[in-house]
Amino acid sequence: MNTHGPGWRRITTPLVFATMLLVGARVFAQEVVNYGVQPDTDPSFIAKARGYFAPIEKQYHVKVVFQQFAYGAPENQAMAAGALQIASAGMGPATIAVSRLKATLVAINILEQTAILVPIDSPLKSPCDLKGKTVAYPGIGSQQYPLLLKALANCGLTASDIQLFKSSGPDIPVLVEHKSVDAGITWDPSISVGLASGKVRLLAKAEQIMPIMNGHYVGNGVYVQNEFLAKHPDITQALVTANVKAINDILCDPAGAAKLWSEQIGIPENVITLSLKQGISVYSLDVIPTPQVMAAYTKFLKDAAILKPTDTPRIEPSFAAKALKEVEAGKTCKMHAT
Amino acid sequence: MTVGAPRAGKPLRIDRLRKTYATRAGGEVEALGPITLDVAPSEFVVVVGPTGCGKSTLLQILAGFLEPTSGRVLADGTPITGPSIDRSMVFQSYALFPWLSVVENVEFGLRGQAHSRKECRELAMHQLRLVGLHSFADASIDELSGGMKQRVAIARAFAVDPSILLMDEPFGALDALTRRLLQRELLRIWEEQRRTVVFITHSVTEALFLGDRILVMSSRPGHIRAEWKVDVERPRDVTSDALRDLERQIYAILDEELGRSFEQGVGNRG
Amino acid sequence: MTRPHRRRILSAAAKRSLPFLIAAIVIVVVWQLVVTLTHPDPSVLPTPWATAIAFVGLVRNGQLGVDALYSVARVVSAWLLSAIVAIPLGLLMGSSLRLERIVNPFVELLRPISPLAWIPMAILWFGIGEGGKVFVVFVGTFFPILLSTVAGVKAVDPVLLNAGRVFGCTSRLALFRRVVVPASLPSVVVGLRVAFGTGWAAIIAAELVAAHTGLGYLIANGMDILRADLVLVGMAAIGLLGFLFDAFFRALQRQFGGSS
Repeated sequence: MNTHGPGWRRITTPLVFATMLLVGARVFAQEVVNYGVQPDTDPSFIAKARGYFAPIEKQYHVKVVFQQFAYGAPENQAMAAGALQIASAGMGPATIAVSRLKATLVAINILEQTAILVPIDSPLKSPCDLKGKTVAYPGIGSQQYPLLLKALANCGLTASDIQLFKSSGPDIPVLVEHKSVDAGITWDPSISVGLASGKVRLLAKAEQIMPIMNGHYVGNGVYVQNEFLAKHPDITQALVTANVKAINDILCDPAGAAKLWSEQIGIPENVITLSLKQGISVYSLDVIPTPQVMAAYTKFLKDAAILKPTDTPRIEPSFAAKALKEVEAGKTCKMHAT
Repeated sequence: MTVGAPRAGKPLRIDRLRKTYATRAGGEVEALGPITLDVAPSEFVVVVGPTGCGKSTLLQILAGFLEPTSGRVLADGTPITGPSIDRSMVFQSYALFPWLSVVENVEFGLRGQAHSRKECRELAMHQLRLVGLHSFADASIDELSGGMKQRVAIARAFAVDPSILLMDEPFGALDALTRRLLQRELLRIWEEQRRTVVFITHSVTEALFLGDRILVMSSRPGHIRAEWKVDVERPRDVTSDALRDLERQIYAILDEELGRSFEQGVGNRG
Repeated sequence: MTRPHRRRILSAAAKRSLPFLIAAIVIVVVWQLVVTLTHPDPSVLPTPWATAIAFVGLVRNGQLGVDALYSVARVVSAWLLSAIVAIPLGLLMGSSLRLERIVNPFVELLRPISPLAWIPMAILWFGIGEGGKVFVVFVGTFFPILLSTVAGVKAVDPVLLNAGRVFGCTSRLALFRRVVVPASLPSVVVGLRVAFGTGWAAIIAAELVAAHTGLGYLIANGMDILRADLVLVGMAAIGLLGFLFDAFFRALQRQFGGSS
């Protein structure tokens, strides 16, 4: 057969076209689940690394794609624009999202994750000493701001008693280290990065200021777009269960988790180990967003004028409850969260 | 009004004046000269010539903006070294200051001299009255027509009580009717405050109407080609036989010079 | 001022504002139509009414006033500083070819760098305080004023200079003071107006990145907490203030602009 003549082309061209169409159809028939994450010690990364998403993808014919964001606000903007179906972010942005957007909170998968830092040689002993000082923070929509306000309120102070300086989460330990500010409140792993440098120390941990879930402050939440939730409650359940499974792995094998995180988000292993040991980021199989916990937290955001008085966050604890039962039953190690 | 006795004009002496320019090509072009000329005190001299003959250059030298390449110019026996308020000027493009009102423009030259504010204002208003614009004293320049602007310029030039008045085609930008009006106005003011006037124009009719003496310049390099004294009493009827005859003679010479300057290629150094 | 005179001024002002009022109304109507037809999430595009309520709320609690004041104060101080440095420098540069040749290379190299590109450096050098933001606005306002002033001086009709020399300006200084400066003034005013516009844009950008007060901060903050109504209030305030300042400058130009 003449492989260069016009006759050959008459066969191959439609063949190529048809193949492309079929392949394309297969690809497009697959639904993409855009999963928003930030570069922190999120169980979602462990779930992905341990392959807990693969069976979900296979069974439900979807592709789970991580979309990385530097902090919560742009992540929420993406969800508002419909670009994300599920997101993992600090409880501040998460609560804002489930109050303002058509989204629902399904899990609180990291606890603590916030602390106030001061330079290593700072004379400050407690948040009450912050009066008249400059404090770096990641902005009003962050998880840290309401906690800072509570810390001040516990001492009878308000935001007008300090000088706030807005900066980005990872920059704040640097500012504290260089003494450009007297103190800074930020999220993990930036906290642990700062502590690991040896030039900053903790002024107060979040649980000392506002312990509202099992003795800890709420750190990170997972929330789902309502449309996706209504259409795929099964996929949602599977994703929440995968998260809890990952938390089980973290509790049973923290060193292994630190290694996996280090590969995924680029933070050094020793920093992550420090975070786990010092309880900067805390994990528990119980990720249920209960009405009591949410009521306390919501009230707090409303007092700080971050939420409007009419805002009502949507929560759905059932997925987390079911996941807890499943994972408890099949647990391989007998470690419990502290 | 503290004008006192009207001052007479001063004489001008131009002695073997030459002006050459360097060309881009590196050579030199003789723009003007040699010119030797005496202007009597309070004489009204009109210089007519084709474009490019150097008549504006002559005036610029008399004003002190340009230096002659050789020769001298003396005003009342003193060599000219630069512009002076005593050699006042009226420009073809009016050169009024747009940020000042009419009366402030007229006052401009007075301000630097030893007059009080009040005196300056009075002298300026007097000049404005002479040109018939005293009711526009506080108007802004852009509200005026071309003819009115030139009247303000004339008022400004006369306000500083100069001995010599230089006028560079002052009515060239105006329409024929306005020009007729301003020619008469100029004469009227001049007759009240007689100064030496050197007036440049390309209009022969204008020259006949205004001048005591008419000088015809040749094409480049411009020198005085011909000279006529006009002894006719003012206001003159330029259509009279005598003046018509003179006009013909002037045109005869001008046509020759025009032909020559056309061959040279008309430059933009008038 | 006599009453008929006052009435004439007011009616002239009203006539001038009418097209802008109509444009504003059209914008609001189109906005409401878009919201009604596409039903966007209120966190993405709130209704004009919700925005208006947020606006009134911020005015009532003084927050909008404070933020606007901060932004305006930063721009005005930087702009004044620019004027103080750029106008004399520009007048001198326009008059002296030698000086211009020396300074020009610096200007041409630095000018293309947008003030926004200076923001990270400004934060590093000036840290927390107002200095950084004022610096950014200074960079944005300095060059338009300088360039307009130089152009204004160079554009002075040489005949005016000659007239000045004839009518009593015997020294270069006198000519400079009595002719060059007033003749350049319309161009300087244009430069001031353009500079203020650039400065106003620059401060918003600077506040988006590094501030705790100001209209840019109001917008950034609104976005952080998914309050698009606050964002729109901030935008409206920015637009309104920018418009008012420009109108002020246009009036100034009418006063000093003269024949230019």
